[in-house]
Amino acid sequence: MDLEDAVSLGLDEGADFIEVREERTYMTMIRMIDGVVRELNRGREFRISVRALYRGGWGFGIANSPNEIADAVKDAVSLAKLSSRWAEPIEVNWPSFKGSYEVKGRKPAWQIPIEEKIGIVEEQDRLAKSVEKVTNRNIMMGDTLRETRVINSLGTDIRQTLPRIRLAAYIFAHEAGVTESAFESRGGIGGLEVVEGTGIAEEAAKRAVEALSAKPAPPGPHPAILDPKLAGVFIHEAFGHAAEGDAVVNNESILTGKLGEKVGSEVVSVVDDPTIEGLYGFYRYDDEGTESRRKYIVKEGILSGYMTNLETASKLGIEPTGNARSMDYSNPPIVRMSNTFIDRGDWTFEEMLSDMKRGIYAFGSLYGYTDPAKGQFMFKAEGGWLIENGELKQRLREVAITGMTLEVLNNMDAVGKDLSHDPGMCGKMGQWVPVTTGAPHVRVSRLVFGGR
Amino acid sequence: MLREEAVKAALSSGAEEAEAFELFTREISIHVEKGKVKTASSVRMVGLGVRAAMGKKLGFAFATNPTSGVEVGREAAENSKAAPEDPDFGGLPDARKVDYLSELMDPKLRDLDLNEAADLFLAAVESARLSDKVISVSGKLEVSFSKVAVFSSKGVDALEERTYLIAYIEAASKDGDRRGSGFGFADGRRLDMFDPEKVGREAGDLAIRTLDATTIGVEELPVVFQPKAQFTLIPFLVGQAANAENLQYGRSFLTNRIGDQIAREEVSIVDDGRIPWLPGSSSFDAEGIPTGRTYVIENGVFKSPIHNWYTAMKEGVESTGNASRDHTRPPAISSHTVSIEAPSLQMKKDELLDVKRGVLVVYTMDTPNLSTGEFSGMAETAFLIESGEVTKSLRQTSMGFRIEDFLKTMDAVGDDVETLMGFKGGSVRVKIKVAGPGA
Repeated sequence: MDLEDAVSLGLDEGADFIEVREERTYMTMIRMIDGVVRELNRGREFRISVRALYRGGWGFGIANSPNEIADAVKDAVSLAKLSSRWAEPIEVNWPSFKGSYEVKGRKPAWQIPIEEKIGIVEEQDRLAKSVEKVTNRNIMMGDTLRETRVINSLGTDIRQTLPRIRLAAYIFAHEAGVTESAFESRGGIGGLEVVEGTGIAEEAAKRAVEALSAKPAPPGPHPAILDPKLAGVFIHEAFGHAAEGDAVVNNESILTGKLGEKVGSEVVSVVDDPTIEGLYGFYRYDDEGTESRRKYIVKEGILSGYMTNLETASKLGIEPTGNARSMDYSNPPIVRMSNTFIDRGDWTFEEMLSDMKRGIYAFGSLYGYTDPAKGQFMFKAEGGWLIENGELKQRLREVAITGMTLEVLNNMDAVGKDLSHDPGMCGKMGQWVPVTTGAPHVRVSRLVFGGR
Repeated sequence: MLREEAVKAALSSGAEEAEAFELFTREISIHVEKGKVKTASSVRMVGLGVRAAMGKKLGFAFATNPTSGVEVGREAAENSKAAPEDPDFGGLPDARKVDYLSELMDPKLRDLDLNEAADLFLAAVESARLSDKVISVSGKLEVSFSKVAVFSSKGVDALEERTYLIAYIEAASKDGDRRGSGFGFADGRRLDMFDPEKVGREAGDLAIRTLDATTIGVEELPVVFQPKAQFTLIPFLVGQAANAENLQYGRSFLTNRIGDQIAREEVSIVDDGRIPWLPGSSSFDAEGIPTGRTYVIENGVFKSPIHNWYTAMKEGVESTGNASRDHTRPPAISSHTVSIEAPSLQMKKDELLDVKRGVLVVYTMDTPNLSTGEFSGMAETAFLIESGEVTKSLRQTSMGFRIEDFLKTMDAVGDDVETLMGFKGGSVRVKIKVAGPGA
């Protein structure tokens, strides 16, 4: 059965709306430890998913081959009918989209011989090995080619092909009974050219060695400067998740009902932009087929938008922003971020530093999370420096930073000119999707550090 | 069968040894938003991961929903030809006799249909609505039935059926400008391990209790970690710090420390892959090696790492049966169910709270640093203890400590044993530094 017939069958079965998504993914993963290839892995995945809506209830089913589509459609519609027993009706007044988009990349990773890819990994390993005191080198390179088609009963028909690649280095150094580590990665949409010629392993190696002399951070509240990686994760975790349409609609976000209100200092603007070609969180069409677009979430301190899928946009009475994404087609799309960043300001890092008598410069991001309902967040910095009289005095170890989202946005008093982006994976409800976090250096008048 | 086809194809493509890991999963789920069923879902998936070896060269390939195992087997063999040699690779696992556990697959869970699942889960949702202050309840119930098989040219031929359930409920609360949240969750391999009323009530109760919040400054205090606040800490000690790969590459703070005292002598920490009905249990690991019970810390002394076949061969010891994987990656190492054994420190749950001033941590998501063994993280859900009473909820509370100090200052272990997310144990009380923005 083809996808068009599947949509017709879904409507015949009584669905108010039906969507069929087909996905083919091809992947390569190379993992090298201390110069030895420990994983050389190639794989492929194929899925067709069907999502049906009936009187406000959603049903979701999977076909593992074209022969199973009819069964998947019937499953999805009957599951939607089951859900509708408890659901509130949803008006299907959503827009539709048609189009296709393909990124090939200058050096398509899928067509490159495996030996050449191993060569790139080996080069990173050599760079890390050349740094004294390095004791363990872990280099990973993964590329995927994802071909998708989304059609639905409103007339949407989208085809999209996106190649993604990421090179990462996790380096350990040791001296006098102390072991430290650092992580660095590059990634984006495109071919091998995205990761060629980078020095990530050397950067990580030098930071791991530098950390050997680090001390635990002084616990408690401090003025802080956050580097672009950390500020990027902050805005993603602490603010971005609270601006996702599902949390807002469900009244599970501190931003519910605050559109147009001041939520941060006027130096802060926050953008979500899936359309920046090359970045790891890029896509032209989201997983419901909606054309993606750039939008301000915060403009000069005022909450100016939410990120939405078709359903939450309709419930909020705004245009869909193209933020419906799924990890793969075994999962229904949910509202997610893409390339989310604090827009550039007009400070230099040196200006921020010279202004600070005592505080902490925190850099690098290990991970973070938030509770949008309480507005409380945590993000973990790879390290930091104690600042005294405008100078970086003492290197600090990995440290947790906690705060309340709206307080911190209001306490952000300087935003740098040096916007940069960093690839990563974001998890929500068990689904992981590629995203980019980004920011310039920012200064916050007070953040709580969890040192010892 | 896919796995046999794949192994045969790898061997006929030039591989000297081959192994296939095959996973069939059928999963149903109910996703609730704002108290209503949002999506009912039914998913089936077949995964095949193949390792092929040629001398000291190892290749891997996988496919999700393949129609045949032949192509995957061939590709693994081709990858082994392209791979550089690994001097430490000592061959794919040999066959070992597996003593099959019978408490891994619950027919009631396997046969649960979506109507029953929805009714069960909505009972939990309803239980969370303890007052009008609970403004939203969301969550998800996932139930799966899987068949896991490992087959190899070295004689490994293991197959078993497992069921699994995980449920979580999140409740959001509001009272004027004050906001709170709470959660409850449960996991297990048997249907009756999910008590909907208990999980829902726990989420609703926390949501209401976190409305009344305060902050503290920097203090060194007795801190009680409830079981849900330990599953990112104690299993980390075994799954990461005592993971043989991390030890062999010198990544872990426990490197070269076998025989060292790292906890007080009353404390032992054990990994067990054979506790009936727990999610961490299975008859065999992801390489077909029988699971077992490993004392990682015994009487406070670091005694043994956990191994898969590769790391065990490298050291010339037996695998502890801790290989883990999905079908898309080669085997890694992870813990099964980790528990604290400290009978001489045991006391009643409420007795742990008998301190003048302290903190009760209900939940943290953070883990210690692998290299330094230091923890810096947030007490995501926590309360102040004043004169033995749990009082206000705490916000922005960070904690900083060395995991060894955590294990050495532990002066009480509660009888409130819970099992969840690969951890089994009661509350523990330690003395550590906490930091907030100030009272």
